[in-house]
Amino acid sequence: MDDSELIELFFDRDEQAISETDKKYGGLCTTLAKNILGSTEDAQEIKNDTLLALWKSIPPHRPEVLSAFITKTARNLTLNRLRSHKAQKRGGGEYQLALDELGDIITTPESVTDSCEAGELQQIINSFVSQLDVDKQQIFLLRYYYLFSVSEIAKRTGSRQGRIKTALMRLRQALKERLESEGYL
Amino acid sequence: MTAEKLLYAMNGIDDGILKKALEPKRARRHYIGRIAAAAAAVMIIAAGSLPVGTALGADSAYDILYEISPAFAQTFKPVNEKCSYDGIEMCLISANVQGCRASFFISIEDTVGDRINGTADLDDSYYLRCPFDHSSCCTFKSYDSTNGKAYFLVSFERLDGKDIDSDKVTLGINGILCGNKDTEGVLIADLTDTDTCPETMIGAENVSGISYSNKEPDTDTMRFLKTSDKQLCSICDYADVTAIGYFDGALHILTRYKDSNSCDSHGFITLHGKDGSVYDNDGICTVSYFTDQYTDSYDETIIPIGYDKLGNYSLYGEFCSSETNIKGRWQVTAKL
Repeated sequence: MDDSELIELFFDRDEQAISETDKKYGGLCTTLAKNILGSTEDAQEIKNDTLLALWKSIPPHRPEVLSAFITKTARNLTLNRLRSHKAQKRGGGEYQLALDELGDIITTPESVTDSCEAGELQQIINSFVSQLDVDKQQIFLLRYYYLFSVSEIAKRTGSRQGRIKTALMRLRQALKERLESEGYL
Repeated sequence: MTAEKLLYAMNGIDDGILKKALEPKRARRHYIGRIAAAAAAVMIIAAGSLPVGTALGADSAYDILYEISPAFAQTFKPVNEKCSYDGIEMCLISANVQGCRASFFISIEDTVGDRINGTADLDDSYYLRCPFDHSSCCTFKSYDSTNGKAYFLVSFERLDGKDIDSDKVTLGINGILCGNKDTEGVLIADLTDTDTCPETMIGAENVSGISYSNKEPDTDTMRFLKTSDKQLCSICDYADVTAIGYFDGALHILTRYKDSNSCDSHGFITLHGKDGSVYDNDGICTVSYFTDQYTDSYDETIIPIGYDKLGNYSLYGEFCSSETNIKGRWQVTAKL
């Protein structure tokens, strides 16, 4: 079923929208949540919460890109759950690794203004990513948005793990230079 | 700023880009000089920003820019500055400026032979002369087998954030790498009897790069394997493992890359388990350094692992190099 048909099911308040969306995007939601939380049970809960959030928001919202709308919803729910359980052990290996990798480019946290608006930072990141060529965009997003492991990224892109690691290293350096030029580092 | 803030900020990325990232990787497309109807329509509509005569020429350059992004392509203005050396012509086809950032779209063509192909690489051989401090990158975009041209995008940015305005910028190229040679395979199947007392030295000189996952190694005080001309094992003609040893809680592997400067020889060493898994550890790092003559380079890969676990893994290598390095001197100047 294509995305426009799925959206119409939501607008018609047809409960088949939930089962069809689960069939098409449930796996992606679960994988993304599990990459962050590390627990299959928690990931299943996030998937269910995502489907419920979709049911509540469509309509009136009509997403232009349904897959992105779903993954952003799932990602937000997952990160919020992680925040609320911050005292507990983080189970998501890939999330922690991604944090460590990005942490390497923040060399002097004291010098940065923490009051920078979240919206401004989002614009910078979006601008940075949109200026990358397609291959590098894919590698960057699979790692830092979808939080796939390096080996999974290598499989998806048909590249070797070594090349993926080198590309990520160079991308982090480029992101660092961009953030420095914008005054965020 | 924290790393967490960066990860949260990724939610602001454009939906179309996020969707594209999940698509399976496409095979590299070779443009054959035809202009897509849709692209032509966009070019006519956008005639104010890019002259139609240039866009509708036989050259497939605009197609390639359009593939990057239609909006991006429309911001480019034709320059058409050429330079030839040894039968190879570089053409600065078009340029765009957006605030403190600019890009050059260039082509490289062998007008007398077939030395240029889809493996052409300029990454470390180009330079920019600008009247301002800048950062830059060069990416291969496409190769057109019908006209023999390889296309690249050179992007650069003023570090002071001021607009690029009426500035003369020179793009130069010293060499063109062609003909990737990729090799991978098992170097040593059984690591059980790895030497625990190899020859070592304190510190590494002429360090040219370090990659690490978790903690930066101290290259002044750590122990490293001693360099030598030995060849313990090899699976290609440009890379040898010259030493292996276990000390300080880690497996050390020293790989020598011949002529790495001119042919961009490089590689990666990993441990592969019998079940096909790849050993991973936050402390894995690689320290790269040159010999005094700056021709060959060494990579010491350091893998923290218990000695009793070595028997579960084999040593695996992935290596890359180029067959040819076409030296020359190409240079064009444009006023932006």
